[in-house]
Amino acid sequence: MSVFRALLEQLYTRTIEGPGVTSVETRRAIVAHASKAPELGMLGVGSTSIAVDGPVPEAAHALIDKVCHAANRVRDEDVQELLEQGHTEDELFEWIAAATLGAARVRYDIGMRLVRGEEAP
Amino acid sequence: MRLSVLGRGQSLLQKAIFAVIRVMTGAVPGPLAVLSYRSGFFGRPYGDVLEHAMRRQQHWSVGEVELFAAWVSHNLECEY
Repeated sequence: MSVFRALLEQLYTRTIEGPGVTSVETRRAIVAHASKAPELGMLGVGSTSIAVDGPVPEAAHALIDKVCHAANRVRDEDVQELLEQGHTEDELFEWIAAATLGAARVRYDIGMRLVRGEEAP
Repeated sequence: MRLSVLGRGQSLLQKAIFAVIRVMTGAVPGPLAVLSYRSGFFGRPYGDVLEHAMRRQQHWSVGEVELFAAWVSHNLECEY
């Protein structure tokens, strides 16, 4: 395993599998959703709302979906709505971190497949 | 937008560094705030990945890697 790959694994282990205010199951579910390859027309512009499976609050689906596929479209209102529903900023921090890592991983995998001359999914 | 918690919980040293940054530039950059908040959870291991990707590549120069990052950021409409 390369050094970079090992560092990536450490990052995922710490952020997804380590202790936090949200459950490991929730963070895994977010990564699993984020890891679905986006419909890449322009890099970073992906699909719209996709149902998130598992123990992720339904209220968070829209924000997580945006972070995964259209992070540039996240607005203050997206966050404020969740805070007003009683979720904490620490919960949001962990959801967003998990979504970011899931989305990054699928892009990394696509890039590595292209470098190896394989077809992207 | 920025979570307000990113402005809390730092060590004394981090707070001092942030104070200097605010004096010099007016605001703490968002990525730095994210890396510093609960760094054991995300920032520290992510920083290790970032350091390796941006500065320790064997196949690309630092300038080439910076160019790749700038191109990706531009396409993602990331202002930072």
